[in-house]
Amino acid sequence: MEGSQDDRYREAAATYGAALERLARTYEADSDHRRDLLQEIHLALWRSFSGWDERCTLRTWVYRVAHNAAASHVIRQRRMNSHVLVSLEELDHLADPSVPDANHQQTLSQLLMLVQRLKPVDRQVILSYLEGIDAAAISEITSLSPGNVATKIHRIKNILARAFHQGGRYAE
Amino acid sequence: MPNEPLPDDIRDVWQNQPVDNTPMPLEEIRSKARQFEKRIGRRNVREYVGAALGIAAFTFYIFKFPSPMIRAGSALIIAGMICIAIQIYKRASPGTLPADAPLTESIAFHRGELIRQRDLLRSVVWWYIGPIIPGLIVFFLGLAPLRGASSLISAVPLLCIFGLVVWANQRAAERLDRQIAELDSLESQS
Repeated sequence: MEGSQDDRYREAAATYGAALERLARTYEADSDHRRDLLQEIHLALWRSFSGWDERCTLRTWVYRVAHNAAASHVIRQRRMNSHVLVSLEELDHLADPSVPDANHQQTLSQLLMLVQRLKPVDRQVILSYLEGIDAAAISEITSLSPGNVATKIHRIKNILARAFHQGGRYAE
Repeated sequence: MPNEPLPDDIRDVWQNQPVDNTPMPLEEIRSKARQFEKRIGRRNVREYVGAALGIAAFTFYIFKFPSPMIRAGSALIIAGMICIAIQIYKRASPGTLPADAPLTESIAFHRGELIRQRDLLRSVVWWYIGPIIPGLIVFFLGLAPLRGASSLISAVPLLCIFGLVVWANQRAAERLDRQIAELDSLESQS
């Protein structure tokens, strides 16, 4: 039993290790806390595989467990709402297409800032979109209806286009 | 603006950002899992050791003091402590959430846990202090003929401790209220 738990964990860590690290970045800005969070995510993942019955895909399982571990961590740290979090809809209206800057590093930090401002479920959707996950799988991971996911992805594309194509910035 | 990234490029930027991706050794994970279980175990032991010590002390009083009032008071206090231990077991044990629950359920679960803890703290007078009050009253009334006014004076620090416990728990409940409100604000239109 432990062998298969270890094997499943190894497979998940090898396939999604980098994605989990990117996920941790969206929940924790502080590097020390982020290291702790990443360890918690890996621990939660390993523990979860003792009860994995393959009722969903490995990817769905990994992302659900990881987001839950991250949300628990942040709630426990009482920092989920240390700055005001907004929904995609609110963010769409807050976009300020004014400052043109678009080198690689700036795009990345601007993108991270944008994702960190979102409420958890919207953060989960945009993160899945950025990871290249298709709408059907995002719907499975988030348990949102396919129509709802499609609407949110449409909004995400608009926001990203306005923020980056037009050189916009989402300042704190 | 030909040099600015399009949304598809943004996905590339996101996915190709530098990461350490150093695998966490399995032995380290197992060790952390053991530490976690030990921590939970220690917390449970701590909760019950206090009650066990109290029960031992008042059992000793039953044999030490010949006064029926003191003995009856001690027996009532022991019964009250057993009640408290049962309440801690029933009320304070956290619920469990499936590891793969959707995030919305996970946040709702955490909210439910915070509400449960808040209600537990708010009602501390009834389930944590209330059960031992009758025993303490009988115990101190039994002690009064033996020690006079000093036995009643010795009850004052105890009342102060109870007051502090209630005050601290109410403050903690207020903090949890704020956390619950923070979680409520996280609900997304979906």
